[in-house]
Amino acid sequence: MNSNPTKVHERVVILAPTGSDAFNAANLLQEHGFDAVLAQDQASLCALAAEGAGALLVAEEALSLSPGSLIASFLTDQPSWSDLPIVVVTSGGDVTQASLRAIKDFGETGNLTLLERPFRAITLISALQVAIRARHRQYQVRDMMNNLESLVRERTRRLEETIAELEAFSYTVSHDLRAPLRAMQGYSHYLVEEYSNKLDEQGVDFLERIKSNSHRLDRLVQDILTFSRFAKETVDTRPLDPESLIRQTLHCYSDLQPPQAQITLRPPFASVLGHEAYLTQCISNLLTNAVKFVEPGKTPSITIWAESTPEKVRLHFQDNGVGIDETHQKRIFRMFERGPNSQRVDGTGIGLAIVQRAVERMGGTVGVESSPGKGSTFWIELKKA
Amino acid sequence: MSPNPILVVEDNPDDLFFMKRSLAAAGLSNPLQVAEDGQTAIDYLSGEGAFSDRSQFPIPLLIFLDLKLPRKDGHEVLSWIRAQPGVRTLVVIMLTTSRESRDITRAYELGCNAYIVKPATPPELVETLRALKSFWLDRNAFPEPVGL
Repeated sequence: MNSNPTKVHERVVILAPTGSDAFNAANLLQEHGFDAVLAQDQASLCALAAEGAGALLVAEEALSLSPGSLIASFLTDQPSWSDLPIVVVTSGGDVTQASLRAIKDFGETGNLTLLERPFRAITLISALQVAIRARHRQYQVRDMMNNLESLVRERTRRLEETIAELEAFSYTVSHDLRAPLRAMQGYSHYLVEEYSNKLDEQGVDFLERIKSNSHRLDRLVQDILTFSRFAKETVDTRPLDPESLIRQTLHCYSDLQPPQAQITLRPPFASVLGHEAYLTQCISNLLTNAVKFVEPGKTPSITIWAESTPEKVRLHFQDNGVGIDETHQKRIFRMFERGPNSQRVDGTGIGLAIVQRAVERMGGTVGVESSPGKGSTFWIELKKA
Repeated sequence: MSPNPILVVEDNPDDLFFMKRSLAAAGLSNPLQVAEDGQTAIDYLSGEGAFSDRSQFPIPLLIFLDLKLPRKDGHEVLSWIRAQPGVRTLVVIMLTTSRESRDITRAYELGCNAYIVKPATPPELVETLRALKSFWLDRNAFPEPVGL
C-alpha cells in the first residue's frame, strides 16, 4: 500500500466480488494513471477509505451478496468537509434490487454516481476523474479548516496570555502602587492631627494639599483598576430588577439621600438582562455624577424612570445639574475626559468610561441628552428580561 | 493573667505603624504580637524556635493576616492554620489591600473568618477596628483550642 498521503488521497478503492472483475478494473485504471487498490469486503473498503481515498468504485454484485449498510453508515459518519464520491457499476437491462438499494442506501447520504453496464472504458475513466477532482477540493477544504483551527488556537492562547499578564499587572498595581499612597495619606493625617499647632497657616495648608492629592491619586488608581476589571469581553447576564438595585445604591451613599439630594423614582421599572455588579457600578457612577455637577448652593434633584419596548429597557437619570454642551457629549465617555464645568468638581474622569464599558459588556448602550444650564439626562439601554 | 494577644501578620512597616496606633485608638487593649512574614507566623503558632516559650508567646485570641507576605503568603498561612490541631479554630481576619475576587474567594475557601480590605486612611482604619472589636471581642464567643 502506498503511504504517500497525496497518493492515498487520489486512489480509487475498488470493491468487486468476482476476482477477475476487480482485477480488470484495477488494471484498466492503472493503465490510465490512476492509483487503484482492491478491497476484500465492505469492512476493508471502509477501512481503506478512512485512511484516505479519492473515490470508491463498487460493483453492484458486491451489494447483492450483503446489503451496503456498512458503507452507508461510513458515508453518514463522514466529517463535515468530506463528501466521498462513490461510483456503483450496475448490470445492464432492468433495474435490479441491488442498484435500487444502492440509490436508497448511498444516494441520501453519499455522493453517488451509477454507471450502467455495458460502458466504454472512457466513461468510467472520466467519471472517476471528475470524482477525484472534486475529492481533491474536499481535502483542500479539510487542510484549510485544520490550519484555521490551529491558527485560532494559537491566537486564543496568545490572547489569554496577554489577558493574564494584564490581570497580573492590575494586581500588582492594586498592591504595590497603593501601599506607599496609603502611607502618605496616613502620615499626613497624623501630621495634621498632631502637629498642626506647630505649623503656621500656610504649613497646615500645604499638608492638607498633600493629603488631598494623595487621596485623589488613590481614587485614580482604584478607578483605573475598576475600569480594567471590566476588560472581559462579555459577561453572563441574568434578569435583574433595576429598581431594587437603584434603591440599594441610594441606601449606600449619604450624598444620595435627603437633605443632600432629592431623588425621585418613577415606577414601573421593567426587568433587564444584566450583570448585578456591572449594573450597580453604572447606577452608582451615574448618580454620584449627577449630584456632583450642580451649581454651587443648588440641591441636586434627580428623577429616574424606565421606558420599555418589547425588546429593550431604557433607564433614564435626569438631573438639574449644569448640563453639557453638545460638543462635549461624546467626549465625556472617554477615559480621562472631563467636561468643561468639572474643574471645581472632584473626580478622576474615569467614571463615565467605566459606565460605557460595563454597559457594552452587558450588550447595551449608553448616552446623554443635555444642554448647558438645563440639566442632563443620562440613559442606559439594556435587553429586556 | 493578661488577655490573649492579637497577632498581626504584616510585613509593611508603615501599615504596622498605622495598625498599632489604630488598634490603640479603637480600644483594643490586648497585647500585640507581630509576625513580619508568613513563616514567622507559622513558627509563632507552632511554638517553634524563638517562640517556644508559651508564657511569652501565647496562642493569640485572633489573627489579622495580610495576604501578600514574604516567605509564605497569607493563603498558605491560613491553610496551614486550618490543618493544624490546636490552632485550627483560631479566628483569622484577612486584612489586605487586595479586592480581587479570586483572593477573597480563596481566603473563604481556606476558611478565613472575615475578609477586610485595608481602609485607605487612619480614621477609616480606626472605625473598621472599632467595628471588629465590637463584634469579635465584645459579642463573639470563642471556642477552646481543639486537638491539643
